[in-house]
Amino acid sequence: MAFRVGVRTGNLLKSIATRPAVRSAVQIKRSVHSSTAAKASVSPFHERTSPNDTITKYAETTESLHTYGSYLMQCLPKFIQQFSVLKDELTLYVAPSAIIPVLTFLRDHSQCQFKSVMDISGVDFPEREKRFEVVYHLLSVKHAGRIRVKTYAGEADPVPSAVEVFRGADWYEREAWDLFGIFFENHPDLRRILTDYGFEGHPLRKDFPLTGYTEVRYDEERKRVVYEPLQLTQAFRNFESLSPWEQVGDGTKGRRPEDLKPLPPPKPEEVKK
Amino acid sequence: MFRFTRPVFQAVKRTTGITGLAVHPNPLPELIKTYESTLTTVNALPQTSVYRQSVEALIKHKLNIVKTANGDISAAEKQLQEGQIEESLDIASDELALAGKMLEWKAWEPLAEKPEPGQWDYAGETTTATSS
Repeated sequence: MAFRVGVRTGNLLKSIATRPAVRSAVQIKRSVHSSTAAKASVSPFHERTSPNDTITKYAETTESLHTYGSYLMQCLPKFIQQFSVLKDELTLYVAPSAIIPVLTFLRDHSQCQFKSVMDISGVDFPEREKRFEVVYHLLSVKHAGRIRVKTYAGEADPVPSAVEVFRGADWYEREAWDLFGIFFENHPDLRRILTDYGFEGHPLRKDFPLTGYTEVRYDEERKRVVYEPLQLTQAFRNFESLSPWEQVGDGTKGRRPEDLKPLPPPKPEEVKK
Repeated sequence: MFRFTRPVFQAVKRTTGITGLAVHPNPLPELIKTYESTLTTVNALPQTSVYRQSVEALIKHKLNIVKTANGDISAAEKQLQEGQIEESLDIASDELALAGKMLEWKAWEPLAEKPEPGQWDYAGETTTATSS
């Protein structure tokens, strides 16, 4: 205690020498700062959490996307199975037989004008009957909007190729074929694009082992790279399935207009932009 | 500008500034022709088709704009709000091609292929609307 007093007076003297007296008093207070036991569990941050985008930013967009989605669904009742909206993202769900009509409609209709395909990706759900999903991401430069179209495929049944609608779909479909083994019918040039020569299997499937089946090394005697069956120690095969990140729960539920039901056929005056 | 020189002005325009989109020498009659043939194509669709109703309303609206523009290209461009007149032509010819295809597909019929149960079930939260 005597030492602390000594330090305090030392501080006081120092601050008097250089700064005005008011500020030195503040400094004295800070030099003995420590939180009491009762306050130890209180959050040290006084900021409020950031606003929830689902409510503040996307509410209006979500509602209008519901209207737009139901308009598309009524235009193509034969092809679109359902649609969903999450924040500012609209997704259409269609059968593989309907993918060409839906993509053509989205490309050519004056209210859509989705002229470019940004990406085609695959998803694998091994527990489903039709285990693969094919997802088309389209961009409309004219209306500054994006849309997503999803379809499905089993291991044996093909998806019609979108190359006749979007020429740029060529490599994306080759990628999906390479990594998932999704077969695209009528594709002009369906072959591997990313994996190595002579590679076997489709690496992004859920049943493909994380380490692969073969390992590669340079062989000094044969003076070339050789492929060998994988020999991995057991310790590397135990994978942690828990996420290292702190989980924050499900988030807020997406808004949906209360009065959303299959709209009556629009009156000709309403549709005008 | 005098009315007679308006097509000349369009001829003076050298580029649209958009790759692959050439300047059209006399766009408005072409545009009117495309709109009218779209309307006749759409007539073959059933009255209840939402696509037919919306396209009819839209095209009639645009046709009205182009006709009232009375040969003034820049006025038509301003009212159509689709950028340059060549872009409008592009959109119109797209719509014409699509109308023919919609007729061929019979897109107004009820859902052709239903998904298997559980096909579109996910773990997360989405707001979904089905047709059934």
